[in-house]
Amino acid sequence: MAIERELFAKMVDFVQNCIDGIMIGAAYGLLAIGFTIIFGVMRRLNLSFGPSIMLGAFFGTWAFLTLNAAPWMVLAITIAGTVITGIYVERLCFWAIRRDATIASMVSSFAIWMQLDEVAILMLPGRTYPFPEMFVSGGLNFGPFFVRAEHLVTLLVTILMVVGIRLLLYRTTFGLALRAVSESSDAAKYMGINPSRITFLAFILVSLIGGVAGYLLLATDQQVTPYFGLWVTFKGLIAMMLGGMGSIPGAIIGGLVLGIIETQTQWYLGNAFKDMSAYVVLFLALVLRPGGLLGQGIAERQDLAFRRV
Amino acid sequence: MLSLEAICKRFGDVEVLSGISIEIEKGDTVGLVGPNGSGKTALINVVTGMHGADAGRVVYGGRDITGLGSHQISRSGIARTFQNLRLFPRMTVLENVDAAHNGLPGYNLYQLIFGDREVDKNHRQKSEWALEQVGLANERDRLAKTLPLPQLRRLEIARILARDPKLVFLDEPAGGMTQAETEAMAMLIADRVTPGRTSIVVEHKMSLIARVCRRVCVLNAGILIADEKPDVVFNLPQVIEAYLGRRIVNA
Repeated sequence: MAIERELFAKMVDFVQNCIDGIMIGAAYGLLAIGFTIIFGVMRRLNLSFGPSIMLGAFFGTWAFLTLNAAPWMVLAITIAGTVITGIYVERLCFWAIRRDATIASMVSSFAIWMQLDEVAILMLPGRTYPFPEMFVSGGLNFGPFFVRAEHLVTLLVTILMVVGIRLLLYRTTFGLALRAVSESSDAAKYMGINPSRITFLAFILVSLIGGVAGYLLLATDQQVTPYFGLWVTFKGLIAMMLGGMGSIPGAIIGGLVLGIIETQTQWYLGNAFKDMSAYVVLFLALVLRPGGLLGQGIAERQDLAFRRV
Repeated sequence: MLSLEAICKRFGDVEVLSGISIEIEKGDTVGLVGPNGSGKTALINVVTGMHGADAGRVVYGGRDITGLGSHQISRSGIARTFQNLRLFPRMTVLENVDAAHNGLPGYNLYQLIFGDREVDKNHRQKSEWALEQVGLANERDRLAKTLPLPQLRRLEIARILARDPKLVFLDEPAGGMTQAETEAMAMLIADRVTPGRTSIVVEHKMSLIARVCRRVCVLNAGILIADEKPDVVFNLPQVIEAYLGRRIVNA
């Protein structure tokens, strides 16, 4: 009887970890979508995606600290700040640099990263700042399981955004053009599509997604540091690589897998192993399944990536 | 309609086009032939804006289009196919043709996202019509990458028909095809593509050139060496010399 109860408690822990993992993984998935859309359109990595979100969040928290802005204002400022920073990054690292100069623009997106860090530190020179909590707090009990309200909001918003992104990509002319540029930017040009314009719009789109994801993550943690940029880029890239570059369902699955593995590791092995587990998983994934979990067209995509490097 | 004025193009130390001048009348169908590496595709790439010209001008409909971006050039009514296909492999056949309407009406941001019911309906009808013309109506929901090569080339033709351009470049439309497939392609081009348009066809299969072209330009090592009617051009000594060692199949 005692053994059964113990086993039941262990099962509850395990499932609870999965629930928490899915909730955080949903936000990872949004970040991975941001990376994957830009990679799809340009075949280049934008390492500054995380730092752009961090800077957006710093604008938000600055408004909160100095102007005592309400949560919805902080949300709006965070998103707007991310979009403006995203446009800045696009103009400097991608628009200005020749389309086939893959390495050059990746390196310059790394240089911009440091610039964005500096701006954040100039704005708020300390290390850690409070980030206002969401409109909701508390949580809900489902039998033996507990879900934080912030996590529930994160999950719901993620589902809504994924549906929205799907509709945008498959039901609108913009989506058709964006997919066309991702598939073959040469062919797209001869259809009268201007890849620069689509890339610019794609940057605004992923900045919107990133701003929302950043807000959800920070409002759950209720604090922000300049390292948030690094954190976002790592989590987003790992989730993207896990799911398969250029695949949106892959990005979501990669995010969920990463979230679940992290929470399980944290529970069973402790906090120190949480981030390490992510790298172990990435390493294993790259060795065993280099095209990602949804390894569609692995050869095709690697070949493409190769030709462009 | 289209005049190429002394076009030069070099890649590094190699001059691939040395002062090519060709005048093309409205409604004409011109074959562009020559041995491998003679600069046929390079010439198309320069005219359609994929590469810039190092010297010379491209004048289309009285307007200098040299140095414009390829999306601007294609918006001005010029379309092309590719020797090594440039389709959208992970999109359906219908979506491939739908994408061809992009930029035609100059959509603004609102229309890009929310569409324009009337325009979109016209586009869809036009896509379906274009697929019927090339005989791909039954394949509309397949992913493009699952089609065999001859059908992929037909899909590129369908995209052109949907755009309804005034000037068309076909770069080896029968490349990699069997004799029967080549004949079917020649028929498709002669019946659906060239009527009412100005066309330039690059092709190694002389049966196709003879079937659709009224005039043939021969390039060799970046130089225009002949510009004649098809029945004359392959008997010219300089053309025979350019092809020396190759057998000319004159259908």
